[in-house]
Amino acid sequence: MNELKVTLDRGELRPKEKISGKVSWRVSTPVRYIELRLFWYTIGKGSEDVGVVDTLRIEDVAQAGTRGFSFILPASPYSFSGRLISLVWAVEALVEPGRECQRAEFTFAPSGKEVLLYAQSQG
Amino acid sequence: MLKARDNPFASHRLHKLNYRLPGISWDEIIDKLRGLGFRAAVVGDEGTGKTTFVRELAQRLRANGYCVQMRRLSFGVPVPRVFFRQLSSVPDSTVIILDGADLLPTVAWYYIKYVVGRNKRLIIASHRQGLLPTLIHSRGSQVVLRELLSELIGPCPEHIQHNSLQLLQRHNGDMRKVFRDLYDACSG
Repeated sequence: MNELKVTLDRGELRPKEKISGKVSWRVSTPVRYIELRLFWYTIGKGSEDVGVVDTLRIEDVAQAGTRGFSFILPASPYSFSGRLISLVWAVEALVEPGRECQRAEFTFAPSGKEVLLYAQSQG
Repeated sequence: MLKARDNPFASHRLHKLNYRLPGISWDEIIDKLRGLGFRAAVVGDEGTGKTTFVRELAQRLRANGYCVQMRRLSFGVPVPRVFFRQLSSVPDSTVIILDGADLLPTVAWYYIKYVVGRNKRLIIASHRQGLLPTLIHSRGSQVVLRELLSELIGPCPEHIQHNSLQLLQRHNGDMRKVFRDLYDACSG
């Protein structure tokens, strides 16, 4: 059975920081390369949008292994959620050839926490 | 308030729903397509799952060894001339799936029929009947809506089921509009 896992060292990040983690895999067929993608996407009521910010290719890999990776985050856009739309950041790993794909999500904003686009009730 | 990412009716969750075939299997659909010489139409009103059907049909055809090219026409977006040139260069063995064929002006539709000739394989999704022989008629039904609701939110409370069926009636079978209303109801 094929296994693929992306683990991040931290789950809350700030603009221009370095995001690092590990990708582990065990697959049954030879691997050409593993591609890591730093990206954001929107989800919610309407059509979806996606932005790939950076990619990293790990080549000359065996059918099983673990490698570390890192990316430098941009200045924006921040993770946010409202009623109609959420913007989510993630690092995704894809094994080529094949259809294996896994992602790990994180939050990205000046506070490290997702920005909430609605008024919170006063306690 | 429910965050958009947690809403069970968010579009990324709706896109994962499979088309519910009404008493026919995908193998039978593909056999029927062969019988029609790969010239067929998926007919149905707005929001009844035509796009979901053709997307899934494309996957099934590819899994059966067919080469498939999908084109989607959108309301209010003019069809570029290059579209017709590309269509004429598609090999005869390739199955062309054209979603939104009824958005084409009549002249453009006849031009497409001319371009694809007798040999090219063409499947369309359309609101109206008669452009090509009908492969399947897509309809929004209470049974399908119940199944989709249970896939999206698990065991469905009686009042939500009741409201959803009322919405289906109000929207004349347009399940997309039903899910949009349910999204709003959930978001608080």
